[in-house]
Amino acid sequence: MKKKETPMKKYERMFHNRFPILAAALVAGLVLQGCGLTLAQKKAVGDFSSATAAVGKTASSELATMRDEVIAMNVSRIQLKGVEQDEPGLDKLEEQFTVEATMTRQRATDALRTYGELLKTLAETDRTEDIKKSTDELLASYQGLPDSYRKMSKEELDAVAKALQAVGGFWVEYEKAKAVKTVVNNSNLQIAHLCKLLQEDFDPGVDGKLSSQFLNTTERLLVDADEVMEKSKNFTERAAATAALQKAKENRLRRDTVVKALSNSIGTVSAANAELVKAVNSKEFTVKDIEALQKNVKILSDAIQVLRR
Amino acid sequence: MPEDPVLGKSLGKMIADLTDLILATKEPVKKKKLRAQHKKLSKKLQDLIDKTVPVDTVEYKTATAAVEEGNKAIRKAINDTAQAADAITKIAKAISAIAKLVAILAA
Repeated sequence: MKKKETPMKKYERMFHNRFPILAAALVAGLVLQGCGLTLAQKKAVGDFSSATAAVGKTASSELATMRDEVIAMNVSRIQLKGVEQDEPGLDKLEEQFTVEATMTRQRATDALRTYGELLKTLAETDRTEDIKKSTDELLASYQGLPDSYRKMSKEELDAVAKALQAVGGFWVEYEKAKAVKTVVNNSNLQIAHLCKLLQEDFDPGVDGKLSSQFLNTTERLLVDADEVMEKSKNFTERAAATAALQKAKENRLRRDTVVKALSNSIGTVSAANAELVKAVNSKEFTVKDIEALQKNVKILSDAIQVLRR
Repeated sequence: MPEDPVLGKSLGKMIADLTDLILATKEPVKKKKLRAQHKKLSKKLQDLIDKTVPVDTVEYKTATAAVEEGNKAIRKAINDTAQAADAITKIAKAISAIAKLVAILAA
């Protein structure tokens, strides 16, 4: 007669039967967890992503400010002197900062910001809902880029989306590392292209870009306000001319500090991103450009603080 | 090795420095001439914004060189407004050279 198996015995037998499977799963889990980013790699991603998100956000806000200031300076000029020949009238107050031109650049700055924010999320959190939100924002911003700003193929974009959708569950560190590599590798050319176009737009030293418009409107107002000031015969005229002179001088300062620092920062994002590509693909890498980016972002932040005072 | 001059940078600098020269100049006749030149330069820069400037043309190189010469003269005049007359001559040459470049864009 067969002896009846006790519940304890039954459990032990089942455990022994399944032990090899459980052990293999545990070992695989530990191995895959170990395949995540190293601490140094995580730091590189974290430093780069925070700085890049800040640059994208500041560039977007600065574009809107530059457009507002161009309009305000043209209003001041018309109030002072009326509309003169070859100068923009009330129907062209924004000059080259049209809604379309500004929005096009803002889509580019949004792509830069969302790229930084997604990498920051991947580097700092395990919350799948946060990762999903950042993923959706990045994919939407990449898809929203005008053709002239787009460098990423549909296949590269699909690969990014697929890698990001896989993040979650028990293998989160492994999948996050894989997602970071896919996002960084596939975005490399796209980010370089965006940085080139945006850096030019914020650099008055490049032929005929948006910052040239900011310069031209500012200098025009300075000269006109000076002339009105010189010829003014009463307090009202002098008060208007003084206010216009002050506005133009503040915008000169903005151009020479914030706009210049922004152009430098955007240029450094491109170099730092190239460095990040090496950092996520190899355990031996340098962070010289990522550190330069952080320094430039600090200069940019300080310049903005000075203008706010 | 110094970088080749870029017209946008040189022209932007010319307009900003010319503003400073106008603010520094007290003599009414020269000041009036400088203001008129500022208007012309501003219009020329406006014509170049958001356009693809043909950098490989003789007109681009001539204009850039003329603007560079003008910038040197303006810098001298800012330090010594007695030199404003020379600056006015050089700026006039620059305006003429830029006008030829703008004409290519318009063609």
